[in-house]
Amino acid sequence: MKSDREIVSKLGALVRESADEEADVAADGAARSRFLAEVTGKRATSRAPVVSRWVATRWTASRWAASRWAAMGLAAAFAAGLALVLLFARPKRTIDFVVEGAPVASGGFVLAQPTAPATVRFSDGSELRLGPGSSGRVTERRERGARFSLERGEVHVHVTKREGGADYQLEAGPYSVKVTGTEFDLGWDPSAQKMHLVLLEGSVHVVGPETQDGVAVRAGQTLDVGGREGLHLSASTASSASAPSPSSPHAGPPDASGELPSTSPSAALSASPSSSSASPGGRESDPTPRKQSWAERVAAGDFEGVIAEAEGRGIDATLGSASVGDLMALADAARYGGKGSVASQSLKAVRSRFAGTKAASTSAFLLGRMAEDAGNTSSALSLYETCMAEGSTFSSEALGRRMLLVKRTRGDDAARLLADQYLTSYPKGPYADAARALSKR
Amino acid sequence: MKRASSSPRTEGRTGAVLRTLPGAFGDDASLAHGLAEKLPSAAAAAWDRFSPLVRSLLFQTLGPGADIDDLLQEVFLTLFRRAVDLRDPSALSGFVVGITVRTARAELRRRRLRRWLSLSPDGELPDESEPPPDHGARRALTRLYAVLDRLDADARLTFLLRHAQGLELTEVADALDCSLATAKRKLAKATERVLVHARRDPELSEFLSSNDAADGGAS
Repeated sequence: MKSDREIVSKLGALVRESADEEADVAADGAARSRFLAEVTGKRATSRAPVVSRWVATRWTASRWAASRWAAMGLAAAFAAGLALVLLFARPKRTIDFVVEGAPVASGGFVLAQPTAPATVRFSDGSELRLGPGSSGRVTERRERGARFSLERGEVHVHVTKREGGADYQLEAGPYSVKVTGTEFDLGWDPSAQKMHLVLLEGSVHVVGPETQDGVAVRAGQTLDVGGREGLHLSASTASSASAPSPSSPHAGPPDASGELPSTSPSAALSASPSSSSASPGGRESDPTPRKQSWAERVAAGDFEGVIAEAEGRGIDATLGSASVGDLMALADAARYGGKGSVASQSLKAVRSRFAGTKAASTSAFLLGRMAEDAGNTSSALSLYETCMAEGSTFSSEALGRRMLLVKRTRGDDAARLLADQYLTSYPKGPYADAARALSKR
Repeated sequence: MKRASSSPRTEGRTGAVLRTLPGAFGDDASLAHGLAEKLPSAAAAAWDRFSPLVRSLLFQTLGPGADIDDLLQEVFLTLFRRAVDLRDPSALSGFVVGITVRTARAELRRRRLRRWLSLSPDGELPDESEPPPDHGARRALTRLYAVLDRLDADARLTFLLRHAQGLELTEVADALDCSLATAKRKLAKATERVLVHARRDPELSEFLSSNDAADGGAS
């Protein structure tokens, strides 16, 4: 038998070796994810009561019981002070994130493994799940969100809704997707320069070379943009069941439930070129010519054809389901084709369905022009003010029209203030001469 | 040779996962600051740095077959919540060990209470299944923990932290929140009791004897 020291040493070694065998390193990933989910608030803290109880028992005996009323008073004062500090002096902190399933290099670059996804989990509960082999970069952390650049592949985006709106921005090549709280799939093929977006919930605003004014995409819609195809926004689920949009190459026939078949970004981006129904690239070999969009037909002067097609679908159904591009094209066709009522309804549909977009503020200006032409001065003035308040690209025109309308209805003195405002903001604008004439009087 | 408590054995583990994190948490102090700021990236870094140490401590103190998943979560959630209370950020490792030891101690006391209430049919812990008869070391381990079960939680922890985990006595004292003299006294008492019971236990004696023979043959 060995000495006491040797026996104790051997017993210690026995325990250590056992612990090494017991430690299931393979399970560490799941445990780590569980912990991080708790920390980032993605899951209810099931162990919180235990922890709270432990903390509570440490403090209860020695302090709380000593002077309960004094402690309560102090606690109330402290809580009030803390609330004031949080309300008025809380420093702005940017959002934080962790990456699961892949290493993250300096600069926030994330590369998912070829056979497994990777998740970027943000501290507000939002998460980005990169598909296998996909890569991207967290390029900016903000107070209420972040900016993420998808460099290749696909990402499933879930942005947690929060009071005041989240502030996330997804970038894919030259395209930018503004997100305030939604869920969608985004794919980007850098070689073909094509972006594919399937919106599952909420709405997003996409800006890019083909959408400089921005396009709003709503739940159930699919946006394909880039390559040689330009921009195609599919009809929403509701409209696709009755009237498939001419500009929805990825949306197959609805199933028995009326739902659009799901189309993952990867499926759309990696579809065979020979698959004419799945890939925009496939349409190059499609023997049937691609149907022109309404915007293209309006540009070609086919106003009556566009109006007839809308009437064939049903004006109400079209107004309720058509994309923002189609609605604006229909409004143009109706205005040029002398269908003022249809134009007005189309523009109002844009304002109600795509509120907050540049198309909506443009619609305000066009509605103002129509009201002015119809002699409805007060309505026109109101719409021009709305247009300016929304920061429309037609703000200078709206201000100029307001100035002339006020001059006509209320006299030079009333219009002079608007003239000065116009010259300050747009000294070289199309209404500058009229403004100077008013300003000198 | 004693192992330093502040050196998690991440590198030595087969299959350990190395992650590069976005934040710069190169040392305990910066990591402690990140945890106090409630940064999720700091939480991830803390997990990667300390989970091997915490796992090891929990397994060693609670014994074979223990289900430590919930306790592991509890340790790290407590760390995340209480890091703001850490006065010396460079002492983060000791802080983690302290939280782990307190969590293990609470679990040991819960076990003792369950045993006293006979919540398990035979008064034994249900997760301590009988190992196969041909695993001498496993049987010896089971018997050793049966011996350790006779000690109170602090005595058990003192013995294991010193002799299994390899902490210095000052670190043991810090982890158990007692003075160095108390830690020495507890250790001496716990070691004496373990030795007495180990020598009386036939299977442990056999294991130690067989090791004697093996050692003798090797030397």
